Amino acid sequence: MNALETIERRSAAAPTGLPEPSKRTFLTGRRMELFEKFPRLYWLVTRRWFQFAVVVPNLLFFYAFLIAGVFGSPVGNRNIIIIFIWILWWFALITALVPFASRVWCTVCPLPFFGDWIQRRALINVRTGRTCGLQNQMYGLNKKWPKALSNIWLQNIAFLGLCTFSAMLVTRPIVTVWVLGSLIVLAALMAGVFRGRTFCNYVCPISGFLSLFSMTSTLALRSKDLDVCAKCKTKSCSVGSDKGWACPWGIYMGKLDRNNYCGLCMECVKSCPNDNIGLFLRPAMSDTRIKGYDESWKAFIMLTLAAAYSIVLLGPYGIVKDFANVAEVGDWKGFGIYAGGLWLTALAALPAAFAACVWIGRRLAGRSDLGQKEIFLGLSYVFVPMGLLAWIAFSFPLIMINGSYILNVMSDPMGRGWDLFRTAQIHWSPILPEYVGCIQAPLLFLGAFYAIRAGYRFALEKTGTPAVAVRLAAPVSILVTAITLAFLKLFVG
Amino acid sequence: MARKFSDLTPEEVLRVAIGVEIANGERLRTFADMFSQQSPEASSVFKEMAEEEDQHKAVLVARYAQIYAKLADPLPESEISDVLEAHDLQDAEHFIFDDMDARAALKAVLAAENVAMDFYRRAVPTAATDELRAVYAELADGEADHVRRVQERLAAQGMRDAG
Repeated sequence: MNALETIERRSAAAPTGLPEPSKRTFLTGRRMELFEKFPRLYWLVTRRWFQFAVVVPNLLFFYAFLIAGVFGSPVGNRNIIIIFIWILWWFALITALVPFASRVWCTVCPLPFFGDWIQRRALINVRTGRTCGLQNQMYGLNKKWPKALSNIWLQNIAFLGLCTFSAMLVTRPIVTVWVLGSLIVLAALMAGVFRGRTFCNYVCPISGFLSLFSMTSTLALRSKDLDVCAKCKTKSCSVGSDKGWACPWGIYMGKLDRNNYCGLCMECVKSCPNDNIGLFLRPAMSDTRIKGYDESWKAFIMLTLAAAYSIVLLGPYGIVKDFANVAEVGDWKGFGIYAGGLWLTALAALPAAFAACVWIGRRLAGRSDLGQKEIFLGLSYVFVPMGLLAWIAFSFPLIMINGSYILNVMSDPMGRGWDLFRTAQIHWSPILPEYVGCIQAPLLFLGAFYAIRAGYRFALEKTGTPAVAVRLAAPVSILVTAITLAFLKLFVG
Repeated sequence: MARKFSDLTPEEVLRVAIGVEIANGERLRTFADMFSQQSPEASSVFKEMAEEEDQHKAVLVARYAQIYAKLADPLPESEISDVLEAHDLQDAEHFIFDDMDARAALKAVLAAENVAMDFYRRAVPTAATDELRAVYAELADGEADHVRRVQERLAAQGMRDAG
């Protein structure tokens, strides 16, 4: 059993006075099982057509956006693909979907649609059969992904790479078309060669940060009773059944204690023979276990990118904007400085500063018996809530300043002078720009609070003594505070 | 509704212990199948361990026949609310991180055997009758033997990995 695994035994007295059978679950604290509370939701997700029904409209929109990107205006703010994806979708994803609905985007994501069909040759029904230890008939080569790449390092590098060129990506429709089009082709090709959602697990750059930030979410799909899973002889959630496909992400629900790799496809809800999968509403920031350096580095990268974007897009530093905007300005030397600084900070400087804090914390606590790696991984979680809240703080001004473009492109998605809903001519007007700082500051403080609290809790779990825990977590808490103040200075001056 | 283990008679305790060995054999074969492509070495460990569970079952069936009579049917573990011994994976993300190998498979088996040993050992002093106490103690000893054998296997695997 994992050291950080938290198991709570729930017991309640039945009206007769007899104890009810207790339930072991990985979830702690207050929670609500949504399938019990809303039986229609359970009914909906257990329909075989559920995922098809939610993906297809999204897929149609996606293709409409791609068409607009190819044939529409090359000016970013006049093309729906830029405004809807990089402003509206991003804002919805980072401020609402991830914090409150975990990886629900993966439930509706159009990118793996063709890949899933290649593997299943079915859009709705399940195929029973035997494929590589699974109880479903699968097509494609079903190869195993190399062990050396079974982590999120590729996603880390891909996301950092994409974001380095984001000035082009978020302003030029055709670049967005190329990137998203390539992802959909790659997802389909990989599905033909490798088993399950290999693309989503290891390659998709969006999936990488969704994985990390979904740990903070108030929504979680979990086993309702771990003992029922332990006693289960078929493990249908993992291997599939005649009711549902084997988990395409490769998860075994009986031990699932964090959101990272659960794409909420709901196949396990259908395939579980014991009706033992629940969708839980729970307190934010409940998953805190970082498993490897790849996940820690994802946290460093996300925090660094939040800072870099804030400097480039919201900050007063014109020279940095010019460096980043190489496509418009053409200053490749400046771009090299910007890109080098970004990569160095994300991959080396921030991790080095953090590692130094961990090392000092261990010395201050007098607990050099605690391994540097163990404490490094455990405390690196502090950058998850902090990074998410920094991204949310960054994203609010995006929508508040550029929100009116959404109305424009709804009426004129290709920038060709249409006026479908009579909103094409609405003049650009920022929404309450004077309140941007008032929204950002509390978000940053909330991120720092969650981060420092998580660091202290982890330290307490490791040391068992509050005073020692404070010393162990203190240098990291100081680093968190310093970074928060730097963001604050950037956002509100 | 499932019954509590402590409510069983000595005869039922033995029957449920047999039921548990059968269920574990099935679970281990499921794991062997599940990891057949991902980790053939873990898969063969699970297969081996499933055969061991079959042997444990045979020993218990023989013991039952010695004390009572020919076994009519084992008591399925699903009729008991407690988890006596359930071989399970140790992590939800073995497939994602590709970290299931022979060692991890043996560790998973060892964890279940330890749980079973502790369960029966804890049950000994709570037994209502001498007969029940003797059955619990015998089962605890049996599980201790399984633990020792898996530990030996794990040590040998460690040497193989190191060498």
